Amino acid sequence: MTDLTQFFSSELLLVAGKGLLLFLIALYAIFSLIIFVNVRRLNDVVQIEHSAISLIVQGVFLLHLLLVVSLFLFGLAIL
Amino acid sequence: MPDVFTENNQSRKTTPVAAMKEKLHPVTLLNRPASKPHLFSTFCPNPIGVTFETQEPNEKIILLLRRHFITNLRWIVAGAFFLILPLLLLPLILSDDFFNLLVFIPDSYVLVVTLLYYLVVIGYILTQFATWFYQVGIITHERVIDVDFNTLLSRSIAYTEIEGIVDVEVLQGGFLQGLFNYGTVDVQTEGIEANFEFTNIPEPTAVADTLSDLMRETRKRD
Repeated sequence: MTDLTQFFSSELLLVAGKGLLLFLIALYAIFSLIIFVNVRRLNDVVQIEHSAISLIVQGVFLLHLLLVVSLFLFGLAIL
Repeated sequence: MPDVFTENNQSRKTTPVAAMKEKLHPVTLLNRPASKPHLFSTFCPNPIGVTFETQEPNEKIILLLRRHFITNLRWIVAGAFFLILPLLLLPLILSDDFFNLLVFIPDSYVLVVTLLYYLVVIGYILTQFATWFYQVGIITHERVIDVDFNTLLSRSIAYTEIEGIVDVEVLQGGFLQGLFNYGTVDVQTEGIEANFEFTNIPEPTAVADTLSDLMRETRKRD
């Protein structure tokens, strides 16, 4: 248990963990951005006039992207 | 003598679809009332206010199709499972062995990992929904259009003229397909053109029937 305590409390591991987490969040943010751009393009393929459907779908994807970016900034601040 | 009844010529529909409606069999989709698509529409005859990228000025959409909503059951169940998974694992996490391990990990790390996990699960659900939502089949009185993509990162849009269709086949089997009346319509085209497949669409027999009627009308016209 003492070895385990030393392992988890080591500064190096925390810094590596922070780097890895932020890298994963950044990667996921890029992926979310690509998906959002594609969703916007797909809306041009089939258009539904006078309807909030397309706006709702795009809005949800935009919200998701913003949440991922917020998580990255949050992680940067508290980790 | 005053006219008791005069026919209003302006009210008569003169579009190609209206002309075809008069000739076609009553069961055909062309005789169904126009409908406005909503968020979960899977079978929308004569959709109001729907257009597509390469639509010709006089081209009228007869049918807008998506996969039957019941085919989404798999990812809905999977998504719900992943959403509640941390709660299911909570007793295990709070057990002595794991808890002793977790106390050495800072709370901020646990919080960020948990939030990232939930965002990934929500992203998975959104991606699956968008894949279903944007994968549509469109039948107009001139063409058949199939918008298809495996992931949200790649898409393919295939078109074929009604006159290029040689055969329409309905494939329906299995308990769920029988219960919810959905199946696959295989549209075979002539020559080297790729065949179309509308997979797991509602009312496949009605769709095939409409396509057959359109093929017959197109041949008569030619």
